[in-house]
Amino acid sequence: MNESNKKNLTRLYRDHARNDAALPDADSLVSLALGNRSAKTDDVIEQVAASPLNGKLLHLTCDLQPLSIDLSMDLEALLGRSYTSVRHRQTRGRRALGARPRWRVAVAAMAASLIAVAGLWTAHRLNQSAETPMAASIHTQAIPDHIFSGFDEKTVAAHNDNRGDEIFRGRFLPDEIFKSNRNDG
Amino acid sequence: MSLDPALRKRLHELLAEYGVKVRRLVESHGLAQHGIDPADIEQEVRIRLWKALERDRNAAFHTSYIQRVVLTTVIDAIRAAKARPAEPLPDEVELGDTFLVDHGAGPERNAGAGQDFRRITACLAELPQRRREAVVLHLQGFSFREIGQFTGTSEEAARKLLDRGMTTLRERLAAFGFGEFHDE
Repeated sequence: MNESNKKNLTRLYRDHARNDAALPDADSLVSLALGNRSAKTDDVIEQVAASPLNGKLLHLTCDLQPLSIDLSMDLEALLGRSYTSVRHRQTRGRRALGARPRWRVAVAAMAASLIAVAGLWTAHRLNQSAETPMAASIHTQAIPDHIFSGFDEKTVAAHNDNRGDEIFRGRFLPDEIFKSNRNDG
Repeated sequence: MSLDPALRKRLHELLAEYGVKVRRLVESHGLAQHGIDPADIEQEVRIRLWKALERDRNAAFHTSYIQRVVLTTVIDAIRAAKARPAEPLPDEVELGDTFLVDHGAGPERNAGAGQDFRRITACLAELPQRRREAVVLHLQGFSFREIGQFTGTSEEAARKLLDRGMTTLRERLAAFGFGEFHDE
């Protein structure tokens, strides 16, 4: 089908949806625009779905937000009031516009930590494996292994006194139990 | 309210500037075609905000409060316009917003469009709630970010809901013999 012959679903929907659906109330529209979901805002979504006029009102609500933030701030500055709560709410509102759900932030942070730990560990391992062959050879030459350095095979071979294995040359003491001089009587 | 004249003048200027911006928004969203006069809205918003300032100078003018004042003004005006005896409405065809209900197209074509719309709404009604919400908000021109915000999901989740919803809608409409369509 030619692209120009395709029906435009958006236009079809907006042009034929009736505008006589119930109008939403201002509070619910503001709540929905701020992302505060409730049973009332669910109703507003249904009302928006039913009527392009309500869709326009929701668009208007969203577009009013930055203008209203500016006016609120200007009034605060002009009337010399401390609008701590205003500022707090406005920051929340601004943040809410581009906010991600908290669980996503937490998962992202955990994933980033895991990646960082894995990266460090891999780097450490690579460092070790790069050092090991060279370092091992250097260490072998410079400092003899202490375990085997005390045992010089050549000296042992030259000093052949046929003593044999010390284990079997042991001078075992006779068993004291059976040599007891105790007078049992 | 006993205000310093300079402060009073500045407050009037602020509200006047805000009123002008509100009027432009009302115009740009095509609300004038629903029987309201944007200039009246501008004036009414300025009056309501000034009265609120006069009532309680120490009241905090939160953003949401200011938004509510404007929206209440607009909604009241629309209700009043609906309650008025029928007047000839301004032409539906506006520059940059061409309507499909084409009065020059003949009744056959417009009847066909009406039938298409009924099919669309029937198919939409069959979608699961979250997908239906995403699709209708999209059809009303909201972005993924806005859809996510309204429906309490992330932008990405909204995109997925919309994709699935549109796929199902296409399949159902194809079963009706609706043919291809684009949704931009």
